[in-house]
Amino acid sequence: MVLDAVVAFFILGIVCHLSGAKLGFPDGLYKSLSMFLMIAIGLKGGIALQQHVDSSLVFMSFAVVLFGLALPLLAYPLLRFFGGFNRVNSGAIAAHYGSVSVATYAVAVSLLDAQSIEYEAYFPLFVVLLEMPAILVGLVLAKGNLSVINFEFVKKELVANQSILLMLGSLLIGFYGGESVGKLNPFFIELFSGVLALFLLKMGLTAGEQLSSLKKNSLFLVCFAVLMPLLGGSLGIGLGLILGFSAGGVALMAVLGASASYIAVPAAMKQSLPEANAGLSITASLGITFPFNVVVAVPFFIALSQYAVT
Amino acid sequence: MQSKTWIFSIVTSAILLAFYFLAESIGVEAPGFVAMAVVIVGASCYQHFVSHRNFTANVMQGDN
Repeated sequence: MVLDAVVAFFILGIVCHLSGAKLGFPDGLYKSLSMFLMIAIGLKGGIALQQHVDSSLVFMSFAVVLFGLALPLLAYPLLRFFGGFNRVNSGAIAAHYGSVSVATYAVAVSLLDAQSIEYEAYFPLFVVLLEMPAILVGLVLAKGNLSVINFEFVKKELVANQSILLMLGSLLIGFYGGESVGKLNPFFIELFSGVLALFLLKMGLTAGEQLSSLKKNSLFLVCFAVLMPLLGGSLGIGLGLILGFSAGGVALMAVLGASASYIAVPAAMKQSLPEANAGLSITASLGITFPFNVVVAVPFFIALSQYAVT
Repeated sequence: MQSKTWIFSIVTSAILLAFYFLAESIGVEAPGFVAMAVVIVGASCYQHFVSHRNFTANVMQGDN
């Protein structure tokens, strides 16, 4: 088994934290790197989308949104019945696992590019589409009624959502920018892997901190955080095959199903569900699921997709 | 330790091993699945042992 160089930086981050090395990683740099990745993914998708637009994209988008609605409904009963969490915490954690992680997606794209595996150009659009449905379902499950979904909520979480705006905006710029987008390539496309490595180094440091905070409910949380990516990823492979994607596309669909959000959803939950224990969700999604996905699940889903499609 | 957590951890370990064998059958090395299964089984056994020891200690204290 050969470890990808980009992924190795994530492990280096965890090792740095565990060894007590003080890496002064500025918060501003972390936010800048995360913005860079979102813009790069959007631009790359927009440029590729110029050649691949067709009407079936509407049907596929609808199926992807349904997928995003289904994932938290799968997670919620596990959290309630086996984990013994209350309604609020179950809804909040389920929302994290229904939404997506842009960093996990970026790792998958980097691995596919490294292995020269083709994938559909419109996947950044699916990443954007999958951000929101799980937050809505998670909130409804946590509150037990539909009243949480109102105009103010949609305005705040959908229209003013940084991830959605940056990725969708970059996708449109890449799509409509024509040849002028080419001058952005040296920065946003060619530096992608290097920036991702730096971002993963920081993520490794953060994941190391989260791993240290595993105490109460740790065994169930570890099991859940490992099981959900396998269930979500398997469903993603099924959906990818039904929609007729290429091997790379099926792998990306699996990765979107397997990943758990730790940027957009925590921010939304903090606003809309302040009574939920944010530590539980972050520990599970960032401390366990993200490392598990990056090191184990993503390479496996790429191999399985190639086997399933060919 | 709650019996539901125990069952959940056993089921999770079994699924991890199933994924390991699936990976093996398609020619992919995925030792991470086995490693996670071992960690989960080990943690389950440790928690079971600790809760059993605490229960025994409480009973002994009650006898005295």
